[in-house]
Amino acid sequence: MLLNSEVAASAFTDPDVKSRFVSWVATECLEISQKRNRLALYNSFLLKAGGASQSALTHARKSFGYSSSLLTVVSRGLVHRSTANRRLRQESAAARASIPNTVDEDACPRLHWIDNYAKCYAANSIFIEREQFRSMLWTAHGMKKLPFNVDMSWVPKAPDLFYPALPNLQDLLGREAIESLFTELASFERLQFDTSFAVLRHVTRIPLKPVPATPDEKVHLASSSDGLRFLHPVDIYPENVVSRVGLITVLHRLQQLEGFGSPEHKRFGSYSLLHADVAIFWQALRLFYCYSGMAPLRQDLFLALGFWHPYLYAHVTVWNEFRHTFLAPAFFILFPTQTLLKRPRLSHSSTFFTWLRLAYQQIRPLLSTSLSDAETKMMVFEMDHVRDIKYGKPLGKINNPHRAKYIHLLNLQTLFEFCLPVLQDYGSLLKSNDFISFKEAYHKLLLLFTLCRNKGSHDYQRTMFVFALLLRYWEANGLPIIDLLRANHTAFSEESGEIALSVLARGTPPASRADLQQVQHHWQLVRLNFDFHDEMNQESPQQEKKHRLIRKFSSLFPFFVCKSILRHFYMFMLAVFRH
Amino acid sequence: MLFLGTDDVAVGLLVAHFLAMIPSIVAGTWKHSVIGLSAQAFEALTGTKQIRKRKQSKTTTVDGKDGKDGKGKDGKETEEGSAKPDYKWTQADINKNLTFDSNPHSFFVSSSHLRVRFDQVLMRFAKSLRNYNYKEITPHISTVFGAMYVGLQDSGIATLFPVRGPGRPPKHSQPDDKSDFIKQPLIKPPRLLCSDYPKKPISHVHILATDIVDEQSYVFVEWEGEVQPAGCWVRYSSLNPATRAWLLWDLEARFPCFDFTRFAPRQRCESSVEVVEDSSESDIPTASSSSSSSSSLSSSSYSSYSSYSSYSSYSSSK
Repeated sequence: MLLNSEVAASAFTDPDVKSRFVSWVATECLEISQKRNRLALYNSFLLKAGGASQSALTHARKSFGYSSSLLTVVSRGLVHRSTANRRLRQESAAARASIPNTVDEDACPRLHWIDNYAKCYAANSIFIEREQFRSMLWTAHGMKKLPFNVDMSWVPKAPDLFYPALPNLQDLLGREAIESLFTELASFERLQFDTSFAVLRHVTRIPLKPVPATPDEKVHLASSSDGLRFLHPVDIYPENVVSRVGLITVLHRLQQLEGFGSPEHKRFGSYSLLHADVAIFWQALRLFYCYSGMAPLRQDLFLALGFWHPYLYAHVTVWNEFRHTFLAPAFFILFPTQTLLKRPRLSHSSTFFTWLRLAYQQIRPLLSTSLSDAETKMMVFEMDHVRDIKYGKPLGKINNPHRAKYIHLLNLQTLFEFCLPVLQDYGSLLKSNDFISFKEAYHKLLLLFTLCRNKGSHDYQRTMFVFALLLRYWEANGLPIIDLLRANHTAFSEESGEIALSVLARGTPPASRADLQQVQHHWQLVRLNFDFHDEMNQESPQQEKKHRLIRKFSSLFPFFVCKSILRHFYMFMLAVFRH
Repeated sequence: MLFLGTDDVAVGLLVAHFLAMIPSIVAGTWKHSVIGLSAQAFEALTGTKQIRKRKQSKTTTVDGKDGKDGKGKDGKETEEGSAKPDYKWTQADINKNLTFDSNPHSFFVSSSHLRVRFDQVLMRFAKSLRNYNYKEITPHISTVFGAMYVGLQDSGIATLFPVRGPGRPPKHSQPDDKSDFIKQPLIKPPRLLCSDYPKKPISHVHILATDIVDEQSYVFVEWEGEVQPAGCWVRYSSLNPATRAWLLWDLEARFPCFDFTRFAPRQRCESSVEVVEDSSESDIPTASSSSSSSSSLSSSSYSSYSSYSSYSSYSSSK
């Protein structure tokens, strides 16, 4: 259904059609090209022009087996929609059914991930009704196939005795471990700016990601292990994992699949891996430690804290600590007409904090001098007061007027010298391939949370505290999870799951969002979608700028006109028939 | 994906903003907003109670914590009728209640204060295990996993971190008792004492300094009651342990991030005002000369302290 060039030209003589078309193209470009994904933009134009839904054509290659060339996509995209849907359903069902086989093969370590499904709608600002929301409190389950040859068999401690994945409480909270952790935290200096990874490597990309410095790092960064590359959707369960009952049921489902704590399972004698966000990690940890009967599960299951949520929430907690004094006024300097949210989006916070970091180079000399002056004045005042007392002047404690100024300046310096570097180092190093530096950044972030006084940070304090102790235990005893972390700690970021849920939330039609079977079906399509795009990107790896993209696809001009004209025609017919 | 740079307009605006703000803090003309503070902090800062809007309708628990029955995990109503704090602000909001916190706390703490925070985290972990709701969870474990996965309903945390009951603690702590390495926030001892003046209770310890003659640490103490002179320098080592611990805690709170071990003010710390110092060695005014030179007890006279050079060199080195 193509328009010839004459029709297209005549359509564009109408200024209304022209303006609507241009706005439509602009909206599409803005929405889709944010990630500079040439293929996505390209596909979108095709889909919009052809009148098919986006999911239909993006999965078309898998369903119909055609090649990825433009003409073939267009021609084969005209297959009846019911046929396409049927084949897609078959494919997703096959992918879902193949999960147990994958586990049985036991070829590579699998890092499981679980999270609440409905939460992603709120996180993505997708409005849904309250009742509908409650009916969707399900659990999304995915797993990462980690491409590393690491033996997950139990590590012997003594004859017939093996190290448990989660140690006994006595071992976990041993005095030496706690003292050693505190010593490490107390050793960190307040002034971190000069040694900051983000500063030294000049990390200015949003989302934070360093420019590779070595070939290994380049390969690692290109693999985007915290994206969808290693993630495979497993299933959507009807239980709510955030509730206690739901967590127990979901863990049982996981146990049936992976076999941890089950002597009858074929994987008996091997460790398993599970990572989750703070809330789930905390609930699961307490569950495992509060019942002696859970010892078999503690023996097998490495429960890991997802590294991404602490990074996400650290932004919130820095806002909470410094909003009323320094951050809110600075925010309104940049955005005077905007609203400042209590929990700004991560991308907004990250951009704002990076600007602050970049600005600090010019602020630093004045701040340092002013702080020294304030300190001197404060001490002078104290010494004068002491002398007054000694020689019979008024007694008692008096309020040093310079102390408040000194502490405010000190806090401002701490924000720039400690909080922002620590936060951004963690985010940058999470994506890098240097686990030792990342581990240090993790401990610094733990210190940052420990210093925070707002209530929201309490969950992160204790969770990161326990996980720091777990890391020490795993490292001290050479357990296989440490090998995996050394090989690729980025894969332990649960951002992959969040991205997958985001793709699911946006890709599921509104009418199907509360339908469990439909959501299960669309959950499998997340991976198929990624595979398709990944292959296409590999075929055309060179990145080009956006303005070139638009020019390149100008040959598709008549396609775009089609939709706009049809829409106008439809509106016109509606108006005619109503009258 | 977005790349930022120092030539961004935003960076220039931020630099200008902070370069204007820092001198205003020093000058004492700077004020800040009170947005987003907890009710307690708001009250402490402004002296007034915060009035918050009550929510009219019940809203969904976004994190879904047992939201089906509208109750949170503790069985309390989640949202209905509760005072909901603000979650967004405009520029007008931050200009509404501008104030200056004259008693701020330092965000960054170290040594003993950090240890207390650290131990509080540990204690919260222990408390969380201690307060586990076995009654609610155990039936579900039995149903889903089976009774064999229940076993003993005890984490053992009470053995590791026993909770002290009411009454006097036992004289000899048990070998496994970890309470000795858990730091509690210090409270001021009922009596601050030093061995040099055992019969004179100390009201307040003002500051720690290094004597330029013997290079020892001294503290300036103020005596309780009507005593003349009201205070004097005493050796730091003469303070009893409880007083010493309190002093370090208090100094860290009053002079945060100030390293007294390296940068303590250096001056002549005389233990008695009767000692008359030769002015050629030190310019510290004596009691006999204080009446005639009282006008010199201003901050400008600090430059006459021999410590000033070392102090200013510290400041510049920072």
